[in-house]
Amino acid sequence: MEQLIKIMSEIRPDLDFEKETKLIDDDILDSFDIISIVSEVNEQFGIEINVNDLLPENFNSAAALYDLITKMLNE
Amino acid sequence: MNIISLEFIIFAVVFALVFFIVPKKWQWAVVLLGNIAFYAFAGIGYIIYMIIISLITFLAAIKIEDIVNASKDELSKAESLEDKKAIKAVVNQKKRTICTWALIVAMGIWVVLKYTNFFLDNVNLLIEHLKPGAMIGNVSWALPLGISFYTFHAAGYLVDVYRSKYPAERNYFKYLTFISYFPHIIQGPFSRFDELGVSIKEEHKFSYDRMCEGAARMLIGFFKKIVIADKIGVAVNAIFGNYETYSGVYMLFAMFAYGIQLYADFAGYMDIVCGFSKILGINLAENFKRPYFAKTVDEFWRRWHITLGTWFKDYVFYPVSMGKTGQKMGKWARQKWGAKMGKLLPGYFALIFVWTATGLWHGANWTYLVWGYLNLIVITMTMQLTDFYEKLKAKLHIKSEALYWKVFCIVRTFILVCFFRFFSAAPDITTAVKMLKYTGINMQWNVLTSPTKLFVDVEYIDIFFIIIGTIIITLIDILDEVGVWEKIKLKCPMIIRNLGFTIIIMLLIMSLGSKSDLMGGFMYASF
Amino acid sequence: MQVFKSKTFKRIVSLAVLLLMLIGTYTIITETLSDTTYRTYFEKDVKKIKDNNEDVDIVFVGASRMYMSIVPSVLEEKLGVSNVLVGSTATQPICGSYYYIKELIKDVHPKKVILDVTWDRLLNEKQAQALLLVYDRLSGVNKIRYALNCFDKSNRCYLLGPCRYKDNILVADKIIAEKKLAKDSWEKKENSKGETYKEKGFVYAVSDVTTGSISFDPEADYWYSDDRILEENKEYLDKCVELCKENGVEFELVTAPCSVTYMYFVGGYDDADKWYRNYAKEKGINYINLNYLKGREDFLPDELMYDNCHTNGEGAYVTSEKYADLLLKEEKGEDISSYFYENLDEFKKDVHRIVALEAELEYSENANDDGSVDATMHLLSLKNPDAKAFYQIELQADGSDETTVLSEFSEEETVSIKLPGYTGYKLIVRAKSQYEGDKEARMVYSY
Repeated sequence: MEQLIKIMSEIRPDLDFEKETKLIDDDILDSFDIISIVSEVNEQFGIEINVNDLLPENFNSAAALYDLITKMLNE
Repeated sequence: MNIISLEFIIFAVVFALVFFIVPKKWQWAVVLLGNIAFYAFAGIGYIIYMIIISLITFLAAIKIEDIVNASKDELSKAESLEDKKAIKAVVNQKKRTICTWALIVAMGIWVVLKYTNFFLDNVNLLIEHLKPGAMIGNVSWALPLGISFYTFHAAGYLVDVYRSKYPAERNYFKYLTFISYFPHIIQGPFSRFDELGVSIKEEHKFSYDRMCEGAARMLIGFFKKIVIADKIGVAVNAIFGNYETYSGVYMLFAMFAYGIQLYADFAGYMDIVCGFSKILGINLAENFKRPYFAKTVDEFWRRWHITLGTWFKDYVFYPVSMGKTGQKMGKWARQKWGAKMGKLLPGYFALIFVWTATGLWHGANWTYLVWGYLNLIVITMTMQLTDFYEKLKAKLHIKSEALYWKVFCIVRTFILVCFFRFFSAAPDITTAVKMLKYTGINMQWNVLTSPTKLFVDVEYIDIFFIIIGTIIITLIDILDEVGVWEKIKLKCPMIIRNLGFTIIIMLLIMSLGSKSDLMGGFMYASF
Repeated sequence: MQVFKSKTFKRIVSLAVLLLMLIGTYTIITETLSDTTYRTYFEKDVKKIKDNNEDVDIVFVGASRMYMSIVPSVLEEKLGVSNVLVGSTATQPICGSYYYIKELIKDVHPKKVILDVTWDRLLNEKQAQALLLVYDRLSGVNKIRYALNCFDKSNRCYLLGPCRYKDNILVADKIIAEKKLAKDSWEKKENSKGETYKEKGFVYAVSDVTTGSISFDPEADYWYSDDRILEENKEYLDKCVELCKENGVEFELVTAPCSVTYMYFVGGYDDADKWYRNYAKEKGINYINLNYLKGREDFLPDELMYDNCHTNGEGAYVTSEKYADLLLKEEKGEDISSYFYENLDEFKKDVHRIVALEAELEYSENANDDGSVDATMHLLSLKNPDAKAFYQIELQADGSDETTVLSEFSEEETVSIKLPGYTGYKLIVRAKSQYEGDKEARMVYSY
């Protein structure tokens, strides 16, 4: 989880990912942020998040994204 | 049927009455009948295209879901991870095949109908070079009403089901209701099945408050269109149509006036259809969010024609940037130029597709492509130079939070966006360039001493309506932008609110018709 | 007390307030900005008649030609009847006439309705302002039927007062002053054009023709042919005939005097007259074209015309005398056809003058060394086929009675002349025919 927060903070140092829960719903992350995060996460965790997974429920908070990562690691 | 007409208002009233009278479980059927009736006004024959495209996507979506469901059985029986992966791979391959072919046919119909002449014209240009005189004639197919919208709705739905975002719709008629939904069929907004489709299928209870809200919104929409857009459009057409005479300051004025016209027209239309939908209790997505308050061109496209942007984001930008090519590109760029470029390059690559498609979607003409790429260039440049700009601002002691800086950004964006439209407004590139040229020469500054002259061909009284109307809408938008408009609407005393409506309605009534129909009081013509 | 707090009550109140505000502003705007027309005065005259329970014998319906050419008192005296009304609006489409006749039959029960017709009456498309002027004079169901049947989609918005009168916002003070004037002094009203409302719809106008022959616009494309008649217009004319028959009201057609210039200028003028004569015969009604009255050239010279389409006040008296005579003879059953020319050619035989003349001046931008300016005058005249026109151009400086001849009588239609370098002079163009005793045509242009 810390690794994830680190990844996200590098891409958007201006945001506090521990607290934010509406990253997609409130348009806080833009599309470039998302593809950066996804490419970084895919690289570092060795998974393959793709377009089909780009749902608000997966990206609205760091915790939600972490759940997705965990799920994919277990498959 | 023209939305700005008495017929539509009567149609809307009758439709809403029937909608709320019938048993709630049949409300969606009323919508379907209403859609067909509405479409019939345009020419019922064209409905065949809608039926074909919707059938293809409907059947493909069901097929895909059936394959997935069938595979679940197999998966539970599978024993090893390799077997599971193999099954999944086969399923994915099948899904992909069906989805791809359905999309090719469905969108292909749209592409052929819309872009054949564009294609032929360009082919003819080539042929001219090789064999002068030879020419392929143009086709004269009319573009069926709404095809640029419902094709996208159908395609988006199919891709969503392919992505397992939501279950496929099993009732073709309910699906068709979503595809043919008349408020959004002519100018959007682009809707998603899991929002609009679901909303249509739900049961809707009449709500007086919701009706008032919807009606008020429709009123504002008519106001924007009739009082502002149609009237200022007269000047825009006159000036753009005769840029040699109306050069310099006139062209500059027309450039901004066109910006206002386009906003008032398009956003006004959205207000009408969204407002009407709201009366029914069906929510349509917002397409405009006070676009001229954007501080960058990038932000502008998240405030203008929002649903077009999100459609291309979900169905072009992400697939391209996150696809294999995109990922490879990212890796390569990261190696060559570092982490930052590694993240930006796939995005830029995807944006090229997005803006090519956006440009061409607006029209089958090179001008729209140029317009699209102008936007693309400014957006990517801005992103690329972010660090540089930050440094520059720091050096010049410019605070990003300062009001003057925000105003500067807003004005700058407004000018850029209006400027790009020389290309989307002109019929061809040559004319666009000529229009640009005549904006810069023969300035005719002296017309600023009697500024009403800028409103070429506009009736004198209409100039007042345009100005008053624009001021009212701008004030509302400013209040909305700073977040107080909603509060004002809630807390407003009833008398003030009704006074506001009265003013809007009176201005609207006065704006109908034009002076040329009403000659002077005493006429001595011999009839 | 609970009732007043309930949501429904609040909603009803809010709706009522909104409606009141809308109706209030709508009425205020309409009432304040509406134009004052002759209708105000006409309605007062009609009210007087109705209050006294008097009969109305004849009502004239049509356009401004009617109210500028027909003097009710002259007809009343000569025909020995109580009331002749000229209930016309300025400019009137035939569908408007139909509904207006309906209204008049309902309102004042006239014994006879006379409708004015001209060469373009049945050719013209409906025009918003014209339709609205009639709309103002209707009431009740008739008004609603008229609005539904005669107004197209594009015209309907003008039924709303604020839409119709929006331009008057710019001249609101003038409108309000005019209203006050109409309220205070309703006996007569003289407007800026020199027209005065007299009585029962008749408007007395001082002549507009001050500088010689009545001019015509060579560019105007006025011509009549039978196939230019609009089906809808013909239908409404038929309806007028039917309507009067059904209600036991006598119905007649009349063409009020226009200028001789006009008769020469409008293409196919004679065909229009023929069409109406045939129509009248077919329908068994009377038709009088006052322009074809023998001797017209003498008793209605240009001096008695207001412009090409109307007589002036004095011309109205002359016209009404002659017309009343004809109506009287008709009543007695006399055949009055011998009093009229058969056709336009016959009429032209009694015209001994150059009828009208137009001159267009083209001058060079640069002055000559002596200060004079080179110019060309393009001349055009209306005349009988056998007549030749000889033009002379004269110069008269302002304030002086003397004239200098710039170009002597010649048949040339394109004449080069030298204009003086100063402004403040008149160019007098004279045109005469080859026949001695023929009157000259004369136009004066001021520079």
